[in-house]
Amino acid sequence: MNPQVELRRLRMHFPLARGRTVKAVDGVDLTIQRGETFGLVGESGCGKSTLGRTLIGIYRPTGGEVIFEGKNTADFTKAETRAFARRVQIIFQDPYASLNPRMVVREIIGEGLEIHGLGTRKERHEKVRAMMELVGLDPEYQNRFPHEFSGGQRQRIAIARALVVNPELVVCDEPISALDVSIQGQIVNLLKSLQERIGLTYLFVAHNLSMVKYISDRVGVMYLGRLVEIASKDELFSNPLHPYTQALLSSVPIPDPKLEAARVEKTPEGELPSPIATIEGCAFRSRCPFAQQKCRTMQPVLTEAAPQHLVMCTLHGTPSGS
Amino acid sequence: MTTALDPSLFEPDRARRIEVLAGRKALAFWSDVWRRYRQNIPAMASLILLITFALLAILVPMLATRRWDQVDLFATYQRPSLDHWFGTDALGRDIWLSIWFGARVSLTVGLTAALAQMLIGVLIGCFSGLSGGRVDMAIMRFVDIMIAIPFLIWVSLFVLVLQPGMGSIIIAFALTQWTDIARLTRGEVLRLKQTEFVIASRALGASNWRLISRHFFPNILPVTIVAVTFQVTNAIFGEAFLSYIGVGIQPPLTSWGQLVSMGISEMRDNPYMLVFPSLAITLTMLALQLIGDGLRDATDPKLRQ
Amino acid sequence: MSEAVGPILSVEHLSVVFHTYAGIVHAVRDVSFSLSKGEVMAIVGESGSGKSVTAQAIMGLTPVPPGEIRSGAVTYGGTDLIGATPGDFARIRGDRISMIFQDPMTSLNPSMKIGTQIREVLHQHKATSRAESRARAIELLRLVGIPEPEARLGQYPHQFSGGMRQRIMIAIAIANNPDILIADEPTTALDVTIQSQIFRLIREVQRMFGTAMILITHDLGLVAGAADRVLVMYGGRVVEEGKRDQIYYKPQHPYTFGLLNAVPKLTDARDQPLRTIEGLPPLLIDPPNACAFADRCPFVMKICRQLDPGYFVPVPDNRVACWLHHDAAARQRETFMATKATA
Repeated sequence: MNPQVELRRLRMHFPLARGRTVKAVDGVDLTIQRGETFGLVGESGCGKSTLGRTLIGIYRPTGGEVIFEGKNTADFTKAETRAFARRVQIIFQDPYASLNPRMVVREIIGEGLEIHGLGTRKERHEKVRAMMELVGLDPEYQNRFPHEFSGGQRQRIAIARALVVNPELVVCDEPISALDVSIQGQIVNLLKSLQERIGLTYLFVAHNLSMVKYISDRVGVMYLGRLVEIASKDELFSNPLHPYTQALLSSVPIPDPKLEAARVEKTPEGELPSPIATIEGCAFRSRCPFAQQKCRTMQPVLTEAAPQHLVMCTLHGTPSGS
Repeated sequence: MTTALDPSLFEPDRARRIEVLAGRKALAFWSDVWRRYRQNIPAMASLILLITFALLAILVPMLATRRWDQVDLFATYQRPSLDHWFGTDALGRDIWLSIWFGARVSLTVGLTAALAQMLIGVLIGCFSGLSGGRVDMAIMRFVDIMIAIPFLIWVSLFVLVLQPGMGSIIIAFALTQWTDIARLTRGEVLRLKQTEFVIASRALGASNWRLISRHFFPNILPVTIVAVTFQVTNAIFGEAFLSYIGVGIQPPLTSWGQLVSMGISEMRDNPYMLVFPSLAITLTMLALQLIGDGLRDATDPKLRQ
Repeated sequence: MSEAVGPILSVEHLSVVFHTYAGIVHAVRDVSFSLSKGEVMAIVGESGSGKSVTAQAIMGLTPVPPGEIRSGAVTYGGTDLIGATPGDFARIRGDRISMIFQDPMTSLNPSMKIGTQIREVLHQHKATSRAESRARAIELLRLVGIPEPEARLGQYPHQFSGGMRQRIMIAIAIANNPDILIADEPTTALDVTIQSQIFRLIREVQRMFGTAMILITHDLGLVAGAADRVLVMYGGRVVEEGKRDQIYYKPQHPYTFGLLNAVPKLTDARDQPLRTIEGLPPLLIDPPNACAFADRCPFVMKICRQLDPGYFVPVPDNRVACWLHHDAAARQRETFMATKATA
C-alpha cells in the first residue's frame, strides 16, 4: 500500500460560450500505487486524456484535488512544483506533433536536463547518449531532425525525453495509437522493460483494450468523465460488472475466426450523450439495457462489489436517492 | 523453379540487422525552402534585381569620382547621355549618382525600420499570445487602436516632433508599424501553445522565456520573415511620401523620395527626372512583393511534397 | 458457390510509383489478385504496404502526377480500367463500384444537405424522378439505421455524429446496388462500440445485396469476422494470399505469422510475452529485387536478400512469396514451423 498519486473528487470543466461547460472529468476518485501500471480505458470524450493531463499539471483542476505523495499539488511551493515537473512526466499520442520540428534529437532529449540544470554539459551529453541506447536508438543519429525518423522511432525519442530526468511516474497518453501494429508491440515491450529496469509507475491511457490488458496491473473504465469501474486486470476482463464495460469488451473484434464467430456483441444502442449536458444520476442509463428508475438518482460513487473490484452502478450496490 | 539454386543460399543469414533511418532524406528546413524558392521564376528574378540594386547602392557611390550633389551649372537639365546616364537636374547634379546615393538611404531606412518592427512585433506578439486571458485581450485592443490610426499620420507626427531625418523616420516606423507582425506572431503563438511539443516542454518545467526562444521563435521565423519583406515595402514607400511632402530626408542626404519630389515639379519639361527615381521605387517594391510571395509559398508546409 | 462465370474484378501485375524529390517510390509492385462475385476479400497491411494505393488505382483515384501507373491491368466487366477515361469512371463510380472512406468528415460535402448528396448519386446513374429519388433516399437512410429519415434528409453533415456520418456514406455507396464495394479503413476513425455497430451494418448490407467487397484494413479482428479470403501486403507486394481460416491458423509467411502474434488478444489467458516484429518497414525508393521482408525476418536466409522469391503454393488455395517454401529450404522451414507451433 504505497499510494503515489491520489485523485479526490477531481473535476476538470472547460468553459464554453454562453456559460456552458464541457465536463471532461466529472468527479473522479482514484489512487495509483507506486510501481504499478494503471490502465485507463474509455472511448473518445470520456475524459481519460484530460485526466492524465490534469494529474500531471497541464491543466489546473476546476474542482477536487491531486494529491502527490500525500501533498496537494495545488499547495506546492514554486520549488516543489519544479520538482514535481521532474518526477512526473508524459508521453503523447502523436509522434509527429510531440517533437519540435526545429530541434535536433539531442536537444529534444536533453531539454529536461537543461531546464533542471542537471549535470555538467559533458554529463548531459553522456546521459542523452545513454538514454538513446536505452530506448533502442543509435546515438549516431543524435544530430538529426525528427522528420528523418519513422513514427515508432519518434515515439522512442519522446520516451527518452520523458525518462531522461529520472521521473517516477509517467503518464502515457495513447502512446501507441498512431503507430503501426507491428511497431506498437515494440513500444509496449520497451515501456514494460524500462519499467522493470528503472522502476516506474505508469498511468497508461488508451482505447486499445487488448494492449491495455497486456500491459496493465489494474484497469479503470471511464465514461463521460466518470470512472465507472476499477479492478485488477484479470478480474476486469474476465468478470466485467458494469454494463458499459461489458458492452465495451464485447465490442472488440477478435483476430481469430472461430472465437470471432462465437463472440456475442452487447453493443449499447444509441449515441454518446453530449459532455456539455448535465446528467442526473447514472451517465449511462440512456443506453443501458438494465436501466431502472433508481438509476436516475444514483449517487456518483464507486462501491466495492467484490474484493478490490469497484463499480459505479445500482446493480452492484451503488446507492441512489438524495 | 527450374533453375538450380545453390543450396548454400538457403542457410540462415546471420548478417547484422541495421536499423535503417526511415523517413525522408536529411533535408534541413531552409535547404528545402531554398530549393522550392529557386523554382519560382518571378521570385528569383526579383531576388537578383534586389541584390543588383543593393550592390549598385554600395559600389556606385564608393567608386564615384565625385559626390552626387556636386553642382555643375554648365550642365543643367541634361537629357540622359553618355556623360550623364540618367541626365542631370536643375543644378547639374548627376541623376545616376543621385539615385544610388539615394538608394543607400531608402534601402537602409526600409531594412532597418522593418527589422526594428519585427523585433518589437515579435516580442509583443509572443508575450500577448503566451499570457492569454485578459492581458492578451488588453494588448490586442491596444493594437487595434494603433492600427486604426493611418500610418502616414503617425509617421508625420513623429517626424514633426523629432525633426526630419533618417533616424526619425526609422523610429517612427519602428514604434508604430509593428502591429501586423505582432498580430501574426500572436496567432502563431496561440497555435503553437496547443502543440504537444510545447506542452511537453511545459511539463518538463520550461520557463516562458525558454518557450519563446527555443520553441516559438524558430517556428514563427518563416512566417515572420514573409511579413517583414512586406514591411520593407511600406517603409520605403513611407519614406518616399514623407520626402515628397517635404518632411523626409534632408540634404546633405538624398533619397528616392526626394528625387521623386523634385522630379514631379519638372514633370512637364524634363520627364526623365521623374521616371528614373519612380522606376527605382516601383521596381524595388514590386521585387519585394514577389520575394515575399515566393517566400510564403516556399515555406508553406502544405505545399511540401 | 455463386454462379459466377469468372472473377468480377481482376488485377494483374499492377505497379504504381510516385515521383518525389527524394526519388521514385515504388508503392505498389507487381500486385495481382482477383475478386469473385459476392466475395469479401480483405487486404491487410500496415502503412507503406501499398494497400490503399492499390484501391485508389482500381478506382482511378491515383493522383497523377506525382503518381504514375507503371504497368498492369485492372479488368472489370470486360474493360481495362487502367486506360479508362474520366467519363468511363464517372459512369462506374457510385454505380458499379463504390468506395467507403475512412474519414466521413472529409468525404461528405459539408455544405450540401445529406439528402441531396444521396439523391445526387441516384440521379447521376439512373433516370429517376425527383419523387422517386426522394423516396429511395429515405429508404436508404432507414436501411442504414438513421432514425427519422424524412426529417433528417434536409440536414447537413455536421449535424450528425461520426458514426451517423459513416452510415450516410454507406447509404450513398450502396444506393445504386453496386457490384463491388471498396471499404478503405471504414471504421478506424470510430470508437470501439460505434465501430462494431457500423461494421455490422456493412456486413449486413454486403450479405443482403450480395455485393463483392474489398476490405482494406490493419485490424485483424475485423478481418476474422468478415473476410472470405485474405491478401497480406508488405512493401508494396502481396506476400501471402489465402482463405481466411488458413491465414489465421496456418500462416505460411513469417510476416503474416508475425502480424498475428504482434496483436495481443483479449482472450489471451496469461501474460504471454508479445512477440514483436523487430525493425522498420522498408523505404520503397529503389527497392532491391529481393524479399522486402528480409531485414526483419527471423528466418531470413542468404537467398532472401539476393533474389525475389516469386510465389510458392505450399497448401491449396494459397500462394506465398517466401523462399522458406522452396525445396532446398527444408531446415529453415522446420524452424519456422516449430516456432509457429509454440506460439
